[in-house]
Amino acid sequence: MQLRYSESAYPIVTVEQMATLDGQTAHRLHNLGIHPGSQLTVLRQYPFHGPVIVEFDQQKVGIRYVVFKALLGGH
Amino acid sequence: MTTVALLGNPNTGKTTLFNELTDKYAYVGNWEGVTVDKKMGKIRHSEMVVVDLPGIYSLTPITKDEAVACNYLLNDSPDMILNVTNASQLKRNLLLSIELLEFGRPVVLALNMIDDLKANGVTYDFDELAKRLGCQVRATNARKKSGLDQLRQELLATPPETTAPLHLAYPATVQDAIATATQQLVADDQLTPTFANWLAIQFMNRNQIVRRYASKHQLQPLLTQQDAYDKQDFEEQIFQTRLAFIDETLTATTKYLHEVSNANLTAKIDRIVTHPLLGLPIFVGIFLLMFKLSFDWIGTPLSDVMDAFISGPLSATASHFLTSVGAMPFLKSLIVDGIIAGVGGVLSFIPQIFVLFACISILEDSGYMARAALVTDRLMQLIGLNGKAFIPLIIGFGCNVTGIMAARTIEQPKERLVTTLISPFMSCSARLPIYGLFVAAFFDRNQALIVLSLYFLGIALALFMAKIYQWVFKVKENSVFIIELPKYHMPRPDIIAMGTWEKGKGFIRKAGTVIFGGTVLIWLLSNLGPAGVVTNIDQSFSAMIGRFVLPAFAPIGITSWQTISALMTGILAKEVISSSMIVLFHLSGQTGLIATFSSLFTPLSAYAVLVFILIYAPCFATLATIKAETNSTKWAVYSVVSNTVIAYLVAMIIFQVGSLFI
Repeated sequence: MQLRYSESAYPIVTVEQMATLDGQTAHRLHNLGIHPGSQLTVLRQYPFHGPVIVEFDQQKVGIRYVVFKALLGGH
Repeated sequence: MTTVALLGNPNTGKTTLFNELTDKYAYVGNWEGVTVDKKMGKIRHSEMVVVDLPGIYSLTPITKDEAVACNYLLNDSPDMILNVTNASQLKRNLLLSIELLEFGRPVVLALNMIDDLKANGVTYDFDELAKRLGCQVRATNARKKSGLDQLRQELLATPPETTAPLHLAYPATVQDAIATATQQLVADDQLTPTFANWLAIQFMNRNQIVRRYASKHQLQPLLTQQDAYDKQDFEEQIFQTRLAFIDETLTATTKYLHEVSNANLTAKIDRIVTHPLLGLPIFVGIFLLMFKLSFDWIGTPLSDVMDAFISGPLSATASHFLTSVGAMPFLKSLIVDGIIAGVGGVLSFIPQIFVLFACISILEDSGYMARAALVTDRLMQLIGLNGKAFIPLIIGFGCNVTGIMAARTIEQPKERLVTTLISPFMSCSARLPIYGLFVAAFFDRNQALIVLSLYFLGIALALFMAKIYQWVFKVKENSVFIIELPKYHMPRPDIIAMGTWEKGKGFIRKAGTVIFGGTVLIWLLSNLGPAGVVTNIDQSFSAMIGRFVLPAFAPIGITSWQTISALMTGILAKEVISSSMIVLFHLSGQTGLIATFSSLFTPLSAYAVLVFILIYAPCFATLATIKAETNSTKWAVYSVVSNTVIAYLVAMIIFQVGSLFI
């Protein structure tokens, strides 16, 4: 599928887990179609651990830094 | 009469489609104790009613907004469902579609924004998609009005009967549990098999609304199994099955086009407006521009023209006419000095208010609002709220009532309450008339800056109070913040015009009702006294009341009882303040009032009064909304008391500290 951004310009990460997220956040991310194994293109990260813009399935979504880290398996 | 429920993910163009399909707003109504508006309209030349419901991601609600849709399916049982989807994001839109298809009513699937999909070089085999999903599929572009006639025909031609619901191949354990539950529900509780089947799936999927429905109706077959379902994590199994079905369906129906348009305006704009460093300055810049347009460049000149007309030719003609027909002096004075001067004084602010609303509508329609929420999230986190709270607060600049209602999209109840409580600090458009008068009287230059400073003071205070509430209510640090960044749209003039009108018509309606009534009341109070009709206003009822509380307001620089009486009427509606003043000072319009001000206030005390007006008790409409949204009178009363106390303190500090320097 055609990506909107050239792959070299933006890093692509894989969702490792969603178990450590709080219920509501996990639920909403599920609704958007994010699940373990999803590929996310990281378009932007704001300074001071601000929000992260990720793109997947032709949609762009802003999430919090802590959620982003949790998705990647960190804490 | 056939009812069609309009359902779909947020921002898929449902309301645009609704407005294109139906004649107009038939009405906006409440239903069954849920204080949420649903919009209904009739399809042109037919008896078919379309119900526009809030956007939802799934039938399992997180926000109050989302609960509306699920409750609607449970209680009102529409004849048909029009499922609007964003064609480019079909993968996740179908998660909701499956839940709707399982409901067992005829579904028409509208693939909206089809042009965006094709621009990405992709399309779908609609016939195959329709076959696999068991529903009608139509491609539309509501903004460009394409595919709408076919969609309308499709809706009118679809027989409104129960159709076979979609059956997914859930894992055997889930499948068996659904079958057992359905059988028992049909036998014991007299539900139809289709509804029982859907109910069972939703119950297993931990849908809180359905679970509450089950307890209320004592649906034992489900209630007794609840723990078993949850222990085996049926929710996850259902989700995985649906996802697999969607992947399979989309793989089988996707067709690739040859030409791919490379123009990607959204990415280009976003590279600038969501820039980590430039994002915030750009946000402030856009707001500054909005205020310049409303108060300096377009709005104010037009307002001046309108005021000149009302206090000049209109007032003179009316006065002349009333004299010629021999109206009583009392009546003539009521009409000319009371109604025309008072209501007209407020109406002359229509240009400023409509320019501001047009700007807000453009921001909403273009897709910038979501970016504003994103770039402000980090700041909002510092006060325990999230960027999403920013949108209701910005809408609050138009009207606090709509702002508070927009807070429904916030996930956590506590954050929603805090947002509701700080919303009245957002300087709504109703407060503009009085700012305009004072600014014109005391500040020759930098008028927009003075007004902007009040707006920012309101924001600062809102943030400060939010921080305090965060501490008092013990709001957790980690709130849900997930926001979609939609593609930018070129704002469409008719959508902007309609949005502006929707927001602004309330102001005009109020001019005819509350402001009219308030003006007449004030006029009567100031022309009647204990001794009957008085010629000297100093002996009137309003003078007595104003003088009684005047000493209390000396510390903030108010020296005239007229100002106090006007402020009291501001609780009816803030717009009334300026018309009350015009009536109380017995003037013919704005210009006279501005001249009178110079003898009553210094620039410093004028600013202190403006600050007081910015902050003190919310108007009745806002109080009623606070009561409705929080479900308690307590918070409405609390708002009146706390805001008035805060207003008094802040105005006093400004006046007293300022007096030391000036």
